[in-house]
Amino acid sequence: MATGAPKDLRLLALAGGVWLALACGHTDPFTTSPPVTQQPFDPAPPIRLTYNAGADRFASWLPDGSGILYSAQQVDRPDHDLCLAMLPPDGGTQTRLICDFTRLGRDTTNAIESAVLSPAGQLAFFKSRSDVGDPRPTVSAVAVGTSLDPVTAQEVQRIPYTLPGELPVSGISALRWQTEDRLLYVGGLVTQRVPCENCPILDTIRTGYKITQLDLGVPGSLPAPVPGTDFASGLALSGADEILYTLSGDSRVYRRSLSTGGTGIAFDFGAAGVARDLDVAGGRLAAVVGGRVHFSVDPELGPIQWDSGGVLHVVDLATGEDHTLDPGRRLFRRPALSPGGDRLVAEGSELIIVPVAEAVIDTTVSKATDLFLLAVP
Amino acid sequence: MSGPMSRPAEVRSVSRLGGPLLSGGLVLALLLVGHPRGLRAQTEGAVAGRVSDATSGRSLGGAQVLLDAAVGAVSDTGGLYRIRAVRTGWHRVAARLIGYRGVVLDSVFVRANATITADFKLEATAVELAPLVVTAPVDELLDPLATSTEQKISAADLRDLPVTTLDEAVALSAGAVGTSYRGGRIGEESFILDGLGVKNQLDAANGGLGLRIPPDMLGEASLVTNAFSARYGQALSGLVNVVTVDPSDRWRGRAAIETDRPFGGSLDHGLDRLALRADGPIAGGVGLVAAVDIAGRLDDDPVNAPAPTNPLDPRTAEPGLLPHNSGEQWNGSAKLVVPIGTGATLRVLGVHSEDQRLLFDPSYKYALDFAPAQRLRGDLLNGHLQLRTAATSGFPVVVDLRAGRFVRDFVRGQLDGTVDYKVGALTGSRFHIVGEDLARSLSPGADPIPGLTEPDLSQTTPWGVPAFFLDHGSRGDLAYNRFGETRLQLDATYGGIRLVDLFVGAQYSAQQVRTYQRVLGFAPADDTIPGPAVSAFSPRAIAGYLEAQTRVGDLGFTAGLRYDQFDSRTGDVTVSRGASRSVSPRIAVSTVLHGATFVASFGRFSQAPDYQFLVDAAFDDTTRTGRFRRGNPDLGFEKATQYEFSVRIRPREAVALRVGVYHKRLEGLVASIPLGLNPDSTIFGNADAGTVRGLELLAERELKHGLGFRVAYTLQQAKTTSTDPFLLNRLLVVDPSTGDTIRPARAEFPLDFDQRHTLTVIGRGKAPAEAGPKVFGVRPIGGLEGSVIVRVLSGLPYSRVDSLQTDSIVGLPNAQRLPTSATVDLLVRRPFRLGRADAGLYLDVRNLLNRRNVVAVRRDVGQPQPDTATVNRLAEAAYAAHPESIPFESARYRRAADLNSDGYLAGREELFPLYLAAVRDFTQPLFAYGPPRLMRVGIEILF
Repeated sequence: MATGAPKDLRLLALAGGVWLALACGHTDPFTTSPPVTQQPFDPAPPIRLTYNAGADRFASWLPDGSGILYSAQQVDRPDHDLCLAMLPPDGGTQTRLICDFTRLGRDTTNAIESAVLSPAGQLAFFKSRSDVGDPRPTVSAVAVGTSLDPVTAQEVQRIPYTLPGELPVSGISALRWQTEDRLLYVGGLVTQRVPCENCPILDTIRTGYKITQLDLGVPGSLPAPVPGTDFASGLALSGADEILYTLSGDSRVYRRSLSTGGTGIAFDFGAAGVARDLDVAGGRLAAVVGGRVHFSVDPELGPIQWDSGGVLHVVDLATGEDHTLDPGRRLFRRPALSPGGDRLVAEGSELIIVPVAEAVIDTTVSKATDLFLLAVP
Repeated sequence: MSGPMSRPAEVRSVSRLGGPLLSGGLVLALLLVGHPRGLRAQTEGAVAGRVSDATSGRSLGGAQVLLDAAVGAVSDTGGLYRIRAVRTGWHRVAARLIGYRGVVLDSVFVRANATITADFKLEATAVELAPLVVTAPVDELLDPLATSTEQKISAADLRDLPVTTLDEAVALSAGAVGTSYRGGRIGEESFILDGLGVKNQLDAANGGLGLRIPPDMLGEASLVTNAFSARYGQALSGLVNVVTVDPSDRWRGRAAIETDRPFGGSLDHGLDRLALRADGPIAGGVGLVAAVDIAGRLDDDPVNAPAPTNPLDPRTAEPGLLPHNSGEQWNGSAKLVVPIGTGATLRVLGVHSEDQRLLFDPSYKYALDFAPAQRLRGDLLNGHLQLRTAATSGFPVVVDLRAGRFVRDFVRGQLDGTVDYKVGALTGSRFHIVGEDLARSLSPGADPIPGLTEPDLSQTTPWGVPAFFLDHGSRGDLAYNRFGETRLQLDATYGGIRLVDLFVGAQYSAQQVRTYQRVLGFAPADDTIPGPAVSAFSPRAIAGYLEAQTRVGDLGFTAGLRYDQFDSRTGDVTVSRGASRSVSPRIAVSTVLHGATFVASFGRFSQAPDYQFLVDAAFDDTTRTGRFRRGNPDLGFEKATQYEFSVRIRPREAVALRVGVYHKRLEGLVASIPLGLNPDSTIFGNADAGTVRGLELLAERELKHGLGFRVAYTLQQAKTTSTDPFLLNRLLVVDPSTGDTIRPARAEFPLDFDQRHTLTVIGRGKAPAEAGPKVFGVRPIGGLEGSVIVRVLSGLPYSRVDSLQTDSIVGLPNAQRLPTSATVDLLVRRPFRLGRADAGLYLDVRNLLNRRNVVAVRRDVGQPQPDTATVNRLAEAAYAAHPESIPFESARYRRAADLNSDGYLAGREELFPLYLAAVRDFTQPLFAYGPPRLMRVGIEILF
């Protein structure tokens, strides 16, 4: 009973109170942290960044060089979506993987392609949706979001579209931010047809038509084709007003001022072959040259350029020095230079040599394209 | 002598510390052993007896009987008197008559619902002498008017025993299994707060009341389990009667804090608790008492599950504490007492409770933000006006008019935002649930709920493989319900008939029910995804009762009749049959023979079904089969009939014994009834019946010479006769000769709360102030108080299902038993002086022996853990669903599993061990185990 307690205990009480009040914080429950790495599996050059059994394509660097965006095909999902993924700059575990997880999304194949982030953090990409197993898209559009979140992005240009006096545009490539409110891309053809009689598959044909500007600052504005860029096969920005581009079946890289329309030849790969898939950064120009590429006039589709990849070239725009990067047994497409121009990510496809008969071989490329990181000389 | 009256001296000394709150001698005395009496106003008791001549034994009429110095009654010509509506607590009762020396009974403790018998034998005297003060109390154990089986809990119990809440204290009663009583389902009891019934009529079976009275507001509580008064309804299994304290005549208060911070490690579950109370006079006789009780715990549902065996499991580092499992409770209450003249008193009580929790979900172990959260809020405003005629009037009537408004508000789903802890688990702000606004507006829209995203299999587990664990979104569940009730209650007690008390009253309840339930809310409702289940209706209920109590010699009689009616008014006129009605008689007879009190009682009880069963939703029913079922707005009363016989004796001065046997028949219990052969096609109906038989033994030795104990043992059998749809469908046969479909006879199997054996031992001791050696001038043991609770509970039943995940019950439902569980709880307190205030430092330990009690098992294997075959089967199924390779850059890639170091996890050899590990992680039986050893230290100051 309190009445019988010694008064000396008040010190004990005070000490106890202080002890209680000042006792250290509570024990924290366990926490979880995913086991991730920011190192590649094998650092030997060329560094293989991805090992996906599906296709990894359309790589681009974040403006600050802190990561690599790309489209990763999810072969573990029945719809084989092409999701937006991000890798650390040196390789390692994906830091983002954004797919359409909705029930509706599972019933369709959704693709996020050509994603590119502006310096202000806007994300532009080409999206399409098709029925599972059917490569023909039911919905396609260019979309822009205010952050690295394609889910909340708004469609800014539905695809396909046809401008007066122009060929119908059913696909785009080489999406670039010219300014924060203006996009550039190569509008072109994407179609499918049966490659041979009774073939069970559809062959997808892509070819470029024209470089196009899309003004986002003016609501409802139509895409504006850039004159003189017919059958463009590559596009890069070398300044706010100047683009570099290639044309189908041509080894030259052209330069054009968007404001004045002045054109010229920036570089000619000459005998190395047809140049395409451009990128410019850090005073360097990257391009795919030669390889498995063929320009022809299709009786139904007109001029088209078949492209299964080629050899990576990097040109020092100041000196004109051309470097060929190690091709190995791979063919590359769509190189993306890091903001400093000292590294390059490109899609690499294994060249597959198939013996057909004695002394007769056929070659093809793997559809399981992976991303490779190469150092630029 | 009966317990509560045996230590008046101590009681007086304690009263300086806050009245009964600090009673040293009351703990066992006030606890539980049934010595209660007749059935009076819920917050009050009565004092009755006979005034006689000490020499001749002649009855003395016209004697004044004073209660706390005011005349409370005048004895009639037979010497009999009765003082009604006496507030629970300590009182001084005196009798005086000209020509006789007055007698004062000091420290008479009056309990709610109890009549204290106080007989006065006055000695004739020619000269006026000072009254004779008698401190010997009245032994109510042997009072024949005590017909109800009532087990008391006082504020002192809450303070002196290792219990924290009223629910925990009530659970110590014989016949209680947690908050289930005498085999009944949870929610089959009624809660009476200061005389006014409060019940969550919406989902009492699984939802709780939503109100928590701060323990400092508690004056007394009791659990009544037999033929309780006809005044009470809405209950089948018993009623919990709570009386709050009245303000004292001077300002006083209490402050206490508790925490488990100092213990650290697995003993630190993040507990912080603050309790404050103050009460006293305001002005003009108006008094106020107010209390708050704030508690938070980072792991609010701690489990004593074994640590994982795989070191990669993050729980290995801290196996005793679950994340995203915090809870905080904010409970506040205030009471205003306003005397109105000399014959009336107005009491207004307000209670507000908030209980919000994060709920650990093993599926979201690696994506805690998407695990569910819930918030439960309760509000009560209760007004009570009491009118009484003068004690000496010829028309002795006490009228109680009560009006109350109770609102219970519940929401559960995905937490909107993140939790911002301020102190421990206390956030100081209300959780907001994604889509809560939609739910509150009862929106029937089929669109996805904004803010919810569809979950996908997690890729951030240590195992990487896509199995079991979810991420990216919650399950999409959103549940909201709101129950409101406005209740008016009029009770009158008439004592104008000699030897007879009449009680009559009526109740009217206007209720409002709002429910919203949505599953897969991240997706639009369509043919495969159900839309929101929404309901809004306003039931009405009325009740009336008449009861009489009389005593003839040593025989006491109580007889009452209650009428109940409810109309769900769901608005579905095509199926609802309108109001349901029920008449419930209650009878009790008691007498004293050879020093023992015998009580026999009979009662019928009825309660309206939980309104959740009236609407479409996924809720559990009596047999907890847990399926989506169609609601039935035509449900009627659930009913019970109970017979009880009990004997109370006092073999020694300080020892009390009670033995009771009872038989209770439950009928019309809500159950699922099949609509066809599809077991998922069912509807609720009043289909089940059950029988509960039990024997209750209680023995108590009051605290004497520093030691006291109480032992309660219950032997019980609770069986149901069920129309369980799954059982029916499994046993349907076609007669080979007639081709008729033959439904089997109803099956009988144990009810969910059929706990056969319950043993509770409560011991209490107190060391003398001079006990023990001095250490640095202090006697650490001197004055030390301690109590221990030992509980041994036989296992509850459960149903086995087959091991093929078909959900088919093996054998009869509830044919299996969980293992026996046992706990030892301990409280040690060291009182001391702190300046001019009294204070105490205490240590509270639950499950002292850290016994790993199994409270649930996997129904397929009958043990907490899955067996090897089950683990392998689950792993095989998961692997078969996702046999694809995992590339290096994937967040699912685990280098240690890449046996050939080729940058892929591919093939069975590399992938299957990961699936096995994932199964073992996911199937950890965390919640199959009861709480571990829990410790808290607290300090309190009374001023």
